[in-house]
Amino acid sequence: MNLAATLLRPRRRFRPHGAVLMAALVLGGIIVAAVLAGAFAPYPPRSATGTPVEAPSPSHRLGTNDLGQDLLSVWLHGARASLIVGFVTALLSTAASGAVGLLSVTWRPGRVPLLATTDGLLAIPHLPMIVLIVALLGPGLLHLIAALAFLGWPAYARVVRAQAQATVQRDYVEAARALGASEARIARTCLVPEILPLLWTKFLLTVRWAILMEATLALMGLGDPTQMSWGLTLNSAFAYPLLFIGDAWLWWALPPAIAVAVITLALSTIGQDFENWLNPASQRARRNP
Amino acid sequence: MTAVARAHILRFALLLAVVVILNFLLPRLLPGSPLSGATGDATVAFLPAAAQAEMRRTYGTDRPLSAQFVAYLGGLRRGDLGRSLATHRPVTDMIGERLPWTFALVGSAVALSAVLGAALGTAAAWRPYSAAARFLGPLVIGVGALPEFLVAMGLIVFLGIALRLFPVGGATTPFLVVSDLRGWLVAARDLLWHAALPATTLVIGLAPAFFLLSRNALVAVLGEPFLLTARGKGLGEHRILWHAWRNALPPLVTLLGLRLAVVVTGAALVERIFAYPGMGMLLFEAVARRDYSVLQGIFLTASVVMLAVNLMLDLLAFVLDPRTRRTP
Repeated sequence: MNLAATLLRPRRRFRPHGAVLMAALVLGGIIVAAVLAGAFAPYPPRSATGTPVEAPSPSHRLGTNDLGQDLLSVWLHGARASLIVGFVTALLSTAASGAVGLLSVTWRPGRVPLLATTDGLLAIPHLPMIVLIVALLGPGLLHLIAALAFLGWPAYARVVRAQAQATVQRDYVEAARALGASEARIARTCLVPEILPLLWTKFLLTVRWAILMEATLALMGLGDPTQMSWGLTLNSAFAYPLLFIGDAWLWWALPPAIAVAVITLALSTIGQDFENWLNPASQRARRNP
Repeated sequence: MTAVARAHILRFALLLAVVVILNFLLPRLLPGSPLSGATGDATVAFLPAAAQAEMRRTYGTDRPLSAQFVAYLGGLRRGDLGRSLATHRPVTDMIGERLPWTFALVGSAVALSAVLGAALGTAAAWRPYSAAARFLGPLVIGVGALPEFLVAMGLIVFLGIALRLFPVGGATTPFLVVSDLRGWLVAARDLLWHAALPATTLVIGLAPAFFLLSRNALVAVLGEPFLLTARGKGLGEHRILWHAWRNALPPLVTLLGLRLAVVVTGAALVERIFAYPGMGMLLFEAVARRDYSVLQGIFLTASVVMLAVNLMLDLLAFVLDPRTRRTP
């Protein structure tokens, strides 16, 4: 590091631990609300318990939608689907990223096909591909998760591979090999510890990406109409012609939109802090997921 | 042409073949019969056997897969993407109508955000300790984290409804008659006026990445020893900035390419919210009508554009940065 770089670099951004703590609290709060939706929700979310498009009142804290359903109950139950899509997609695609990244380094015959698949999937536009897959499979939470997980792993598989490739050339891996360690053992004891932190970051970023994609796809008309989610609420709100004429958007479209924004913000705060903590040199914009 | 450029072109051709094959196989591999889309799901099962056979013959699904593939390739060569299952119009025509709108909207939004982001990023990198630069960083990161639909809603509510400055949907005023030069000017103003909110939504989503990347790239370059030498030689501030810029450019061009690569469906959500008649709106309509042939056409178009942009980008990097000309 030369002197000029040290002098000219802007001072490292002040990041109080409070922000991360708050992000974690907000995230935890939403997760608890989603898990206990049945207990918190004042009404069954699917039944019409009021007149259509009612303004908020003591009996309906967030008003009602065009079907007369209580929007607070709909929001709470919708949180479930959004969070499930986020976390399950992240789990699957993180596992795939890790496995492919690792195998492309340690498993010689698999190298070329794995790299070609990764490259090929990255070269194809994701949104129309996901739309085509979900449209062909039919709407459904599982199909959505499958499509998102299928396209969510390649970008980070490359990052994992780069890290594994760099590690494999280190002297201690060479030493392990000289002592007769098998490829599997080297992968387990030398490579996995180097890769795990990367996968944590990938997991958080992918939860964020998947929740956003769920909302996006629902807004494009690919939500499962039988499965309440924030995206589906947004879609029905935007399909309502008088949404912005009155104040209906305030309690109908705004709460799910803000929820998605708050979750993505919380996750990127946690993810960024995590990444900076792992690797202070990596403070630059990175493409999601 | 060198070996590297040839390798890029070969990669493009290979991926193009993969996309074409994928587009052919995907609907045939995934569960569900192609016929169920044409008639609205399970009703096919209740048709008499003769009618089912007739439908299979019409759509060509009774022939072996290889014959279907040859027919599909022949169609592609003529620019024939089949007919829409909902409107029965050629898919190529439907896409051709929408493509210019999307190219104009997304193209101008990407260009605008690149210029805006790079300008602000340069300013922030040049005077990193100024109050403005310190304020701008977190602000841009925060705004960039907002989901598109929230930004769109904010713009609709404040600029569209409360202040009544801009229309909140469509691309033109219906029934606007264009007859003379004055009429053309009015029509042009009308187009820009309608594009204002969707374009602003896109710029708010796109500009932060350009800002962060140009700022960080410039800050990194400004710390390089060769600029210390330039300063030592007594070069003016503008010359130094110019030298720094030339070196910070490659990552910016890469980002620009990444954003332009998804030009076809990059604004899908925004087009759907603002009812803008582009490819995203077509995608939305095709989903609503389960119009698989249109969905496939969009997927193919988006893929081909993305591959082509990536190829141009690789060749451009080759021009911009002499180091990439070496065979890897």
